[in-house]
Amino acid sequence: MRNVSKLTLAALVLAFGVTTLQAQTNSANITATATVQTPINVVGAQQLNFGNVFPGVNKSVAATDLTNGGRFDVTGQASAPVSVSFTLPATLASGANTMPIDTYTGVHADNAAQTGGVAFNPVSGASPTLSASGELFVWVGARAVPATNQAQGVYTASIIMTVVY
Amino acid sequence: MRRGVWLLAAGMVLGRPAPGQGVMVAPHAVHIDHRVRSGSVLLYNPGTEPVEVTISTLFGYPTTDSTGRIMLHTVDVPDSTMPSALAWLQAFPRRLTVAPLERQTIRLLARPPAALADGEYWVRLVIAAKAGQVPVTGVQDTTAIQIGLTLEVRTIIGVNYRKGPVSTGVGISDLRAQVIGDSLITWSRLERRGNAAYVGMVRATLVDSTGATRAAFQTPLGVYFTLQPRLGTALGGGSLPRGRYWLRYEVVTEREDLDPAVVLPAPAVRDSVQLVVP
Repeated sequence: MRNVSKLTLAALVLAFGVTTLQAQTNSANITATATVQTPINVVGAQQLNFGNVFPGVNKSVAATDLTNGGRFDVTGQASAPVSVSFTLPATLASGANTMPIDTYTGVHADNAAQTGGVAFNPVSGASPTLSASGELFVWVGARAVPATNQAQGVYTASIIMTVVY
Repeated sequence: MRRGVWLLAAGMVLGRPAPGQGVMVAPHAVHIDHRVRSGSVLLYNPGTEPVEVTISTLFGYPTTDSTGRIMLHTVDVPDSTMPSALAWLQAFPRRLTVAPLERQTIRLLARPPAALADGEYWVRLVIAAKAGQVPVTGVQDTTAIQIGLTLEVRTIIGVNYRKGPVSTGVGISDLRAQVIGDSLITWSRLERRGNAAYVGMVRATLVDSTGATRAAFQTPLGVYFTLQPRLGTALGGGSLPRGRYWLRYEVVTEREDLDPAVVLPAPAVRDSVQLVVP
């Protein structure tokens, strides 16, 4: 971020310098100062992927499943503590039909490979710290519980992660 | 606040693109001066899909639970004893769509009561981002039940409104340290002084009997009233040999991530405690 900003600053100063040369023959120097503020970025990076679901067969996706677990990525100030909480649906809906979803699991880590990951209960949330490079990765798993007579359809819901910075 | 906005925007555009859906928010802490009564927050969508954003406000401040976990304490209806700007600080627009690789500005406008006393007043800005529907999982020709779970994100940042003279500071007490497993864990009680939130940084260093540093960490935090944080770090070598160690603990108002113009200066405070590894 800082390197990019320095480059940008240099580009702006260069552009300003060219204009100055065109406008007058005398030259002068100015000092340009700027403060770059670290943004925070929270994204839903990977959907919670249940794959095929069949009536009467429960389907679980573990938070430790790097391929299918839902993943949120947070970037911000290095070593910053954040509070993470979730709004978790109890059911998936397809029109008037519903399907229970439960047994949420969570893992947070400072790397995308989940090395050194810490398990937590998404229902109660977590208070992790961003890594020394300002990164945090959060995975969520859950269990879908289709009934034996589960109606056909596309069942949807939202998982909301709230990050307090 | 205005200083460096262009650079900020350029940096956000040129910065590493993030996968997934959400918006970058900057700055992550907003300070508004009573003489200006307005501020702004920049949103940038680094993704490939439009992101629907909803803006709201609430009153809350960081506190800690019994385990030292930092959490946001919210108050639905703050009374007159609370330094709340919830009733008179508004954000515009409240709903917007940020197109891919585009940025949008959220304006914060304050209409404080005429008799507002000097001091600092707080509100929290909630930025809720929702991308388009995620692909539905399940293979169409092998199952008739498909699931589509949308991931939404909400980012909550602080907005501090200052009128007149404001000051801050912090006091440390009840400093403790312990090695648990392969980690150094510290506890302390941080009590704010003055009439404004203390926005700063904790620095902790563990030294052995020779004065050599065996572990160190630093953590940015804000003390709005009282905080009793549990902070720690992994020990580099995995564990510590038996012996006596000293934890040096200091709290300073140095924040590289914030505009120095809005960080209230205060003297550094320090404490230390002995740690014995049996």
